[in-house]
Amino acid sequence: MKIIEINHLTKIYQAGDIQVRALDNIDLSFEQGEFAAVVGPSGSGKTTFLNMLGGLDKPDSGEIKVDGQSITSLKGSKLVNYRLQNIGFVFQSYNLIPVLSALENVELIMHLQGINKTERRKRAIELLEAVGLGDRLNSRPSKLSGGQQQRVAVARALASKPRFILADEPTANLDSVSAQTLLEIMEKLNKEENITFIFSTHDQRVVNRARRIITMEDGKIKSDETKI
Amino acid sequence: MIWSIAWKNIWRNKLRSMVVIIAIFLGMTGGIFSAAVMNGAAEQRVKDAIDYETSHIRISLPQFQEDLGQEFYITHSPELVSALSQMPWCKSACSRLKINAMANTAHASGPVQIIGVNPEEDQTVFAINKAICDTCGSWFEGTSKFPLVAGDKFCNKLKVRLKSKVVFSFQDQSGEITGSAPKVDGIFHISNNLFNEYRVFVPVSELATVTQLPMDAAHEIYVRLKSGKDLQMAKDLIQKALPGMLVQTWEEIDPSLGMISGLMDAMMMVFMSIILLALGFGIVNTMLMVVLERTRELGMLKAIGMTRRRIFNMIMLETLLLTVTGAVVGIGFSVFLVSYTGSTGIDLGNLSEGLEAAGYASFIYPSLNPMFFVELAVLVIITGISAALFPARRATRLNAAEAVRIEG
Ligand SMILES: Nc1ncnc2c1ncn2[C@@H]1O[C@H](COP(=O)(O)OP(=O)(O)OP(=O)(O)O)[C@@H](O)[C@H]1O
Ligand SMILES: [Mg+2]
Repeated sequence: MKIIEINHLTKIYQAGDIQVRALDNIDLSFEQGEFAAVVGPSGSGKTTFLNMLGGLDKPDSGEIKVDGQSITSLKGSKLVNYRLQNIGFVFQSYNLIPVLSALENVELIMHLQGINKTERRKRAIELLEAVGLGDRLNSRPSKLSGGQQQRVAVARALASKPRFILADEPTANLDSVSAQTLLEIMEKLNKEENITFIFSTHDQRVVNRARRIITMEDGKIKSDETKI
Repeated sequence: MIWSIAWKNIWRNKLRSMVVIIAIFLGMTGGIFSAAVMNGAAEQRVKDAIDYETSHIRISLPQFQEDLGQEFYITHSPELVSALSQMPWCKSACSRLKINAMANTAHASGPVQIIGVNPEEDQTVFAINKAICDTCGSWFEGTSKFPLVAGDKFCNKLKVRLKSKVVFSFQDQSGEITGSAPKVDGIFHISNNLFNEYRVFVPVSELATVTQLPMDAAHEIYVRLKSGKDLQMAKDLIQKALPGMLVQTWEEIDPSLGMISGLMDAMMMVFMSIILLALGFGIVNTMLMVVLERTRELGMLKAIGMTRRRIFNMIMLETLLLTVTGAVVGIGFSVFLVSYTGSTGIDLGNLSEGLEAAGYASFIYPSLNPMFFVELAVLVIITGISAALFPARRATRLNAAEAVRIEG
């Protein structure tokens, strides 16, 4: 089942008097349950692409449809609520609120969704156990390693039951062991729960785990390979 | 959950929040305490005026108050006094004669008002007998045949001591200049120096005799109430019973007294507003720094699904909590400080000359009306909300994509 459909997506940044085509007429689609990596050299447009998919930024032309509904036309709090209900985010850093424990960080997004306290607590504990942090529920982010923090972010992204999860260089700040662990967890969630992951990365070992590899260059899709 | 985040956020930068809270605390404590001292002084002034100068209600002939013409007196005053004393709301009543005179000694002279009193009766209404120190004689308990009780300021000016003779000259009923020469029997001191200088007391019988006024005459009858709350009711009743007479409450006798409390309230609020305004700017500044520092975090929250309204509310709440925390600590400590010094009193000894010249006591019991705290609480909330608006708006202006993009 197709969940994301991208048509003629273009984004041009104006840097002084130079125009940068960060995304240049991109056509792509994603199926339910994909585990896709977006790769490419620095400045090739990976972050810009994921931000468009996540509704964090507006294209100059083209359209993104999720489940047949155009998200490029959503605005303001409608757009924010759309993100809240449909998209899970894992950023490279600053994913978590430092004053909240791992558990509270995961609960927060469900609080924003209006889920009641008992239910959200139960789900937050389950998710943190699923990412292997069942014993660190009450730790604040500063007491967790970078890898553990990213796992909390994954649990948080899952908590809202999104249609898909976007992760922009989730392993960039991690050592290789932590990066492997994070990827294993994402892979497992993808296989067992059929969660759709789209992530960008520079890390070759991460790339190797992806089932679909989209390579970008100068805002264009250079190649799009799916392993069988 | 937003409440708990806001509260926890306050303690992220403990030093900075403590500085703000301490600033609010000091501002509030300083402001409230000064207000309490001013208010205590004003209340003391009113109380002293009632105790020594005006009592609660004064009855006289309207013509008398125009220029103290001594022929405008009330007759049958003892009957009136005893009738008033029977009233359930009346603690006591007394009658007085009041005559303008010149006082002369070998050294100096000056104008005074001689007040003729029944010493026993008068001290049930006024407390001048209590304003005479141990070594300053007494309220008409001495041995002189024609005693005088005068203020310390009067005695200094005319250079007289206890037992000294003072010569008074004034007009009698027929307009003839007459005089008397009583001896100082007691010297009082109250916090109003004008009173100390220009009011002297003699037995009413002596004064009536030299002025040839009837023995039952009174220029003024004073009423002290059991409770100040009955003031208006008592005044209306007396006025109804004595239609031709001028019945005045203490506020009407000395309008400046009535203004003191109103003026004081307004001044205290202006004073507190200025303090809070200054604090408000400090809070705005601090919260703008907070928002700036949290750009990425707020951007992340917006990205994952926190609407502008929620971000706005979160920063609003955080600012309000910070402000209210400082205010609660400040108000709490001030309540303690005001009630403590309110029971022990504070001595403004060095300032006493200036204060007493203006009619204020130098020993002050700070006090505040509970309404003051209610008004103050409203002001604090207004300050907190106003100070929060700008940083909270700033927080909502963040662009999620930009905020999460900043590398680091
Ligand atoms: N806000 C902006 N203003 C101007 N130019 C921008 C802006 N954001 C991105 N760009 C430009 O758009 C292009 C694509 O940037 P993008 O961040 O998407 O690349 P990337 O593939 O994520 O790179 P990296 O691997 O370094 O993260 C770059 O040339 C970048 O300089
Ligand atoms: Mg990038």
